[in-house]
Amino acid sequence: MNSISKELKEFKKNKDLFFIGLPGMLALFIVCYLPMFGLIIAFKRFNFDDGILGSPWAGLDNFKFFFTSQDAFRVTRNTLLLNGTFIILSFAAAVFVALMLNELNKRSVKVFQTVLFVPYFISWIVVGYLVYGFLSFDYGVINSILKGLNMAPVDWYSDPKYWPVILTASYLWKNVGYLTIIFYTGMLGIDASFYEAASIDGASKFQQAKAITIPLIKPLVILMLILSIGKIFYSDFGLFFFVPREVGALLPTTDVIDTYVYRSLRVIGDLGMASAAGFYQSIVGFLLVLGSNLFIRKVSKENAVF
Amino acid sequence: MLSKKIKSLSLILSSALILSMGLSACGSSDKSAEAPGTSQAASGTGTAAASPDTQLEPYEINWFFPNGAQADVNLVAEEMSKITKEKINAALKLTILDWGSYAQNMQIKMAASEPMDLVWTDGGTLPYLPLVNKGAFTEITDDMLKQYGPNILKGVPETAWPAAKVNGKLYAIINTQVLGRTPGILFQKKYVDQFGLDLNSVKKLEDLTAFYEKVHAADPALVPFEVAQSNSGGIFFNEYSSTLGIELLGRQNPAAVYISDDSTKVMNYFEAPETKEYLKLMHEWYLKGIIKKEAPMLKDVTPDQKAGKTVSIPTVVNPDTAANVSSKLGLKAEEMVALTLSKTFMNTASIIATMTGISKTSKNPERCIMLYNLLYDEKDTKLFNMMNYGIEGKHYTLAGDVATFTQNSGYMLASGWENGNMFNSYRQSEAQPEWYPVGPDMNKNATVSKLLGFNLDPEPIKNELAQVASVVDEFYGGLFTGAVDPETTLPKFLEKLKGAGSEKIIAEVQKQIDGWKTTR
Amino acid sequence: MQKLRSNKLNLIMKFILTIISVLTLLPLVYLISVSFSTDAGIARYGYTLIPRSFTLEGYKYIFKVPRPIITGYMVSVTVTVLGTALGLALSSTLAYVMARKDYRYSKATSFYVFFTMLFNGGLVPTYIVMTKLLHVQNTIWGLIIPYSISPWFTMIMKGFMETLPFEIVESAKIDGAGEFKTFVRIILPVAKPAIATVGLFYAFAYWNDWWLAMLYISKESLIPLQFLLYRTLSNLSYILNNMSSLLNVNMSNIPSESVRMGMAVIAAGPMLILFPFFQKHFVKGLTVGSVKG
Repeated sequence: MNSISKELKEFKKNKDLFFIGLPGMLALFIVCYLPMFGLIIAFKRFNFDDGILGSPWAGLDNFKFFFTSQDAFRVTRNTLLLNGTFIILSFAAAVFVALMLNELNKRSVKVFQTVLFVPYFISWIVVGYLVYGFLSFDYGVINSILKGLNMAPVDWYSDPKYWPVILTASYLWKNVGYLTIIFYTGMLGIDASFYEAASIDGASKFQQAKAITIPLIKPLVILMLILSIGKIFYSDFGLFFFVPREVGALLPTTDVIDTYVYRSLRVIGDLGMASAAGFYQSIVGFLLVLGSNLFIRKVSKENAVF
Repeated sequence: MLSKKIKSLSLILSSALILSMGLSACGSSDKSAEAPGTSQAASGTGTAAASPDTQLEPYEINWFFPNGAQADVNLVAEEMSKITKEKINAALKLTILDWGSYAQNMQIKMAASEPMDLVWTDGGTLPYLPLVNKGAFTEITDDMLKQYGPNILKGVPETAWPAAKVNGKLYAIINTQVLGRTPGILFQKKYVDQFGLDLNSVKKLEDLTAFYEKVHAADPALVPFEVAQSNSGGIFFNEYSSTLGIELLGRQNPAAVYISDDSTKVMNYFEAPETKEYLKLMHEWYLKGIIKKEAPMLKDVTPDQKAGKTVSIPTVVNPDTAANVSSKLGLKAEEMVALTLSKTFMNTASIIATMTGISKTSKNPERCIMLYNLLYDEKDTKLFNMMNYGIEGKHYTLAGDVATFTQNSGYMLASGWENGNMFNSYRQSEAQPEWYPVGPDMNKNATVSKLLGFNLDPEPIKNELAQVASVVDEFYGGLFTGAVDPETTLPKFLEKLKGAGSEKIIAEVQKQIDGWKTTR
Repeated sequence: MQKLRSNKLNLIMKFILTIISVLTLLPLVYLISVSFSTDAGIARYGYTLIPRSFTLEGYKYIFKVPRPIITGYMVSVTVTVLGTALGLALSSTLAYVMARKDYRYSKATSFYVFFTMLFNGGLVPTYIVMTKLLHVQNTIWGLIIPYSISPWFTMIMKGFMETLPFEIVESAKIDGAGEFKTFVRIILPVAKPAIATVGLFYAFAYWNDWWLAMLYISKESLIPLQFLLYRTLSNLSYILNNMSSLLNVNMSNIPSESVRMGMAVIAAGPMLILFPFFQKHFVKGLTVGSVKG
């Protein structure tokens, strides 16, 4: 009783802020939380007659196809390694570029920012064609250059060993500009008086970046990092599907969970099995986020997301 | 409410009964008599027959099928509705979804129990069998077909129906086209002449090696034998297997039988010696430059075709194939010749390749069949052709039975194999053969599979089928385009198939086939 | 001395950024070049920086029936404007309360938002909620509501807001302003770059979307531009992949490689106009003092 009235009192103190956040929370509830009843599809033998709620339970049967697969290890490894590489490199590149932009005058920032952001608009289907234009054996741009240099052309699409690099390059090309804008925006929020004070103290640009920009941008980077880690089991389907052109020989290094599930189920089209794979990805992502958040809370409490 | 429903239903039934009597009575001289709904009024046999409006309550038929988007689809649907309203008092709503998202979109709509009437289905894009198993379609009984779809029964060959039946029950209407597959190769005639190939002497693919070698030696930029990752070339084996005497259940399902084998013993078609010979030939051709180096990653063959570099195309040969393909190469129909490799083969897969089911959520399945009956009408093909060519004068012009599309008119479907009886279609050029009697004859004379009517229930082996599908994806492209050596790769492939459960699949298929044979 | 060094540093940075930009742009130049090339030319020469076989066929194909493209542009613009406004309103308020460390439920709210990033009910349940509960199918709202609040953008916004100097809130409180007034008068102006960025993301999410149109729209008058383009591409790639199973596909509808690239150009083009509009708000050096004044 006492605790309830205490909580009520606390709520009264916070009610203005609560109501500011309320519309967003309601919208999230409708758009995201209401459909969550569908999570149970992963545990159902779904049929149209009985619908989602009425279909018979299937226990963990829907999870079997993925976990008993001989490729489960391979696709999990690819997913983690490739996405891990993407996160590390794209974050490093974006922070680096954003730091440079932060030092430049506004006009050149505009130009560079626009240029770097354009690839974000090119769909993966089209990127797939572009990559093929660069790498095709006979007429590809790269092989033409190699031939010009009197070097032997490379058969890029038959050897899986090149593909982690090609995929990473494609990913960075398309996404670094986007991340850069996020970090650059974060830097814009930094109080200019810090820099003024530092300049007066005679700090060099490097010192300013190290002492002001980086520490102040750190919470944003950490937040983005945690969000990305939560998504590490999900892959950018378009990248892994369209860029390697579904060439079977490349699957050893390009097959990730999303593409594997898609390829396996496209004939059978089983809603329950597809949901089970998605559920697995969510759970792992969730645990990873809880883990990394816990870790950050231990190291520096104020940077933890929740 | 309920009694009203029953009453209207009995009205429909009685009018249909009258209709079937009227049909047999008044013969085919009166075209409108072919159409149910108006027949009783036209023939005047019905004693209590009022106008069709009071017989049939107005209804809107909601039809979903995949194709390229058509800007004027509503216009055409309205125009069609004028005819259908008059004949069966039903308006028509057409929803065309693009091929790429059709399956996903329909499965979501079905799972959400959206009201729908007609839904296009097939063996691979939106597979029929799983949908039937999950209860997506209403059963179409023999009585319903007899009462409301006499034209359908006339148009679809009797041998074909079992293919569409699941446990003896029918859930979709077969769209009629050439229902069997005839594997063959289409050549540019000028190269056949130039390098002196005698098509009559070709009995099997191996006989073509010398010809292709000559072509390649003469101009290495040419593409002697068109193969690409997953298009006509890549999955040519689906059809060519019947030439080798093997019947597949599906490209990604290793279970197969020999066509001539009366005991229908199930085997793994990737293990068959015939398959290995084929793969060896493809590899030989690949190394010799007969197959393009890029074949395993090539998705789009149109650039080569448009550039006129394609010498021959493995394909299914139908009476209209030469005319259709030659236009892609910028040639006339007579500038291409077709070589057929074996007799037309008809099996479950080739029959269920295009069907239209009636959704469980349809409130009036009878009317759907009536509509389909109109589309199947051999005598009055106006409605069917309107659906495929649009409105005469606006979307196309007609000379005899040759329809010419008006450029950029906003409607250009021309997809009769999706929505009724293809043989009722106008032709698109003089070069196309007339479908009667060639088409129905091909269906009549086709070799019929011993497994026709067998439909695999994937439920007990769906984990294995899913895993095997993924393994097939990994190896199929490389092997079947000839890019990799079957001597080294095939064993790896077979081993991985076993790991994914191919043996369990074969055993289960055998069990189901044996069971099916006893019930037949 | 200091100045000289910083000039040199500036030059080096510009040099590095120029190289990165050139590398980024190079594939795009090829893309534009291909959109002006013939299929036969591509088959013969591969991708070239300057089209070896110039043609306008690709663009002619795209614009041959211009009506849907014009409608598509209008739908896309409407959806983008309405959706961005709604998304920003919902996200900025929610992000603000999450960023306020003194808000008792800030962490709980963060968790509430974050949870939806990882778990979602899937397509079918979402479809059911949207069509059976909200009835948005075949209305403009079908293209807006489902994306009206993105947990991802909201979290990014929260990240931006955390970098803001929150002392200004304290001083506003001391001045006796209510929470809502503080948010509108004090926070929103300093959060301009954040709002511009997240607004940009929302705008592009709406602009680029074809998925919602595929699910919820079957009326041609409500088809946005991207779905128009996507539909052609997906139809094309499907037909190319499944040619032999579809015995009589109408091949005259198959567009060439130049069409695909031309579509990419048309779809990405408006961004170049929209981008500077948002960039106006990327203003550096807003300080506590400047806000108060």
